[in-house]
Amino acid sequence: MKLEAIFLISFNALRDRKVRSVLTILMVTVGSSLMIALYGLTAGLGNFIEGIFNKLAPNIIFVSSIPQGQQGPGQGPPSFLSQGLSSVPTTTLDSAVIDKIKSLPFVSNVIPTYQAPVIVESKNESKYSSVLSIEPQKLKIVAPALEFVEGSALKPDDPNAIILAQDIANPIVSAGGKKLTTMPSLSSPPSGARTIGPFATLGQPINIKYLYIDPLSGERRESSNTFIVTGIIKPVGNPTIDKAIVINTKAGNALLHKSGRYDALFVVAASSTNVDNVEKEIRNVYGNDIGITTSKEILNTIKQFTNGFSAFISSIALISLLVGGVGIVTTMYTAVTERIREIGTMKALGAQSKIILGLFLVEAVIIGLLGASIGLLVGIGGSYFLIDLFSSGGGGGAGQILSNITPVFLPTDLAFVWAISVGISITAGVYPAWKASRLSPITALRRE
Amino acid sequence: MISNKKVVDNRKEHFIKEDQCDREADKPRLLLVKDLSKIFDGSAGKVVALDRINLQIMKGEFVSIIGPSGSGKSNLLNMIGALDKPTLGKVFINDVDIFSGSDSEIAKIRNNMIGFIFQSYNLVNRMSVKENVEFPCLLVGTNETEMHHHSQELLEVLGIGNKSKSKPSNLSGGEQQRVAIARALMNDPVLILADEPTGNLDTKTGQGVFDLFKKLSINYRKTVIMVTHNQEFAKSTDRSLYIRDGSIEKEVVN
Repeated sequence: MKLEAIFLISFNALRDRKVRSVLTILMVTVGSSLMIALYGLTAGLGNFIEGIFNKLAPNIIFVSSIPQGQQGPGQGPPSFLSQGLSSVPTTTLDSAVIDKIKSLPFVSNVIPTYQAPVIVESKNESKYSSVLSIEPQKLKIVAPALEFVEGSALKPDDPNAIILAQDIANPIVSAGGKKLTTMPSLSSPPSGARTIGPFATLGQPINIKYLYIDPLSGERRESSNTFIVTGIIKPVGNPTIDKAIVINTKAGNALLHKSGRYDALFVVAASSTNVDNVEKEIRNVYGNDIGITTSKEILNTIKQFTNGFSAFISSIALISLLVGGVGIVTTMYTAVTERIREIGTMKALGAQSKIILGLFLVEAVIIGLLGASIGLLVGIGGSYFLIDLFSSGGGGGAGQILSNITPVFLPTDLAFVWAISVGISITAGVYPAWKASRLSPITALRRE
Repeated sequence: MISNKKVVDNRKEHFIKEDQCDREADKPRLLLVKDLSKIFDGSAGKVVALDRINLQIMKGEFVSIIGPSGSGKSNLLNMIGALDKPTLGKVFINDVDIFSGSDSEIAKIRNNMIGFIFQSYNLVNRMSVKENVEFPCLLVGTNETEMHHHSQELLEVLGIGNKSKSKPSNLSGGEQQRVAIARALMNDPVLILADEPTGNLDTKTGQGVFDLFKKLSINYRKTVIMVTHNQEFAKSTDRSLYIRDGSIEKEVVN
């Protein structure tokens, strides 16, 4: 029997029971579209994160006083809000350490910083933030993508100047009236949100309060100072800067009572290709008594997380596809049972077992092909829909991140999902088709 | 010498080759059934449906098989038509042991050599009349143009040429049986088997269908074996085999 004839008979058999066929195809479509949408979103998320980190200077190495492996959540370059609260520094980052590291090969500069959680007070409102104390002219080295919304960089000899991240300067209220108190690094607010009166404006004085434990007396103390806002910066993709307020090192030393003990160093390698060498040199000197992180490592860690997350999500989508496969088995098995006499007639007319097998298997193939192909299109459209849905829902940080993600559909991902969907459909059709082919003509003909 | 013969009622020519040998004097044997037995395992023990049946049927004969219900008529026809395998014994069509090959080879014999007509027609309702008729040819990959031409010819000879696009459920019982007959003739089989073809039809329609078989036998020299309850039909055939309790009780030349 010609293949076209088999295909036509199978297709007409599916058309004869339209509703059941459409519902079965829908099962495959849902599974494959879910997988495609999730793959697209995950790839888009990966691109988004990589895009953020590409804005970071790739030749910067973050050195902290917290030993490697003891850096808890919030420690290390992404945020220093809880520095000192969960781990004890074993190496003091002072001028001796700075000079030592500066002397290492491939190191072109070492930028010391103070960092600490503070309370920012402005116009009878206050919020928690973190202060980054750094030599003003070195800020651009650490954040090459630095751009000012208004104002300008800190002057080295102005101890009262302060730069605010845009996130700190402008609180945003959601459309539902709920005030958002945290903002991830974004270039635009979520849809449906509106900006109310700024928390702080250019030229405005603000008070910075620092709470600490006196190392000598063990008592809780408070240190505060008033600064004038000289600049407001756009997000740069570096969480350390995007959520912080920036003052110069002199002002930071005075406010935070650091006595020249720095919290972190930004070590500038001669080029991004020397980053691994510099890390190795620092490790040779200080071993694990010092914490070292590079942008590359952060990116790899995040990539591992997103890959793991993607695999988890994909496994859920795969389960839904397998459910679709079970649906196909049910549909095909029912079809075989209903058409037993027809099978008997075909065999009586001379149809061989392989023809009967082929007829039913082709039905499963058609279901798989249609379901997978439609699923690809629905999945691509669906991923944009999901982004719109979650980002406009006022879901806080997650929704805002989603609004900045563009799904990415790699040909390999599309081909993989399509092939898996078709493969599961064909596999699901094998058993019912085999059962049909094994029926003897007389047994089938005698069935009511 | 082989020639083509026109249909008596002036419908289009049906290209069935007619053997011009003397029908009475020199008929070769088409079917040989030798010690055929069929035993079923029933809940009450073994049931002997057919008990060492021996018979021969010559080419061009019209033979009826008649007997009470449960006598084994349909079982015998199913064995001859290779729809079921015997427990013992052999069936030869044109000296070919039809059960000696694989299941695929048996299927090919069903397609090439046998045309089976059922009491309940067994048409596929979702296919049109034409698609039903053409199905046996689709199985062997016959040229489409030839196939369409041949199927339309058969339908017209059988008086239902205008129903080719209809669905079987839209036809009367007699028309459906004619479709089944056309389907059975598509591959020009050497043997036509009909299991109570008039069983579901009224008297007049049944007579019309029986007359078709008669025509196939007389005019087209087809070998026809028909199972029937109808004594009148049986007497109109060349030979009647009376079967009871799985054995041939008597054989009557009509």
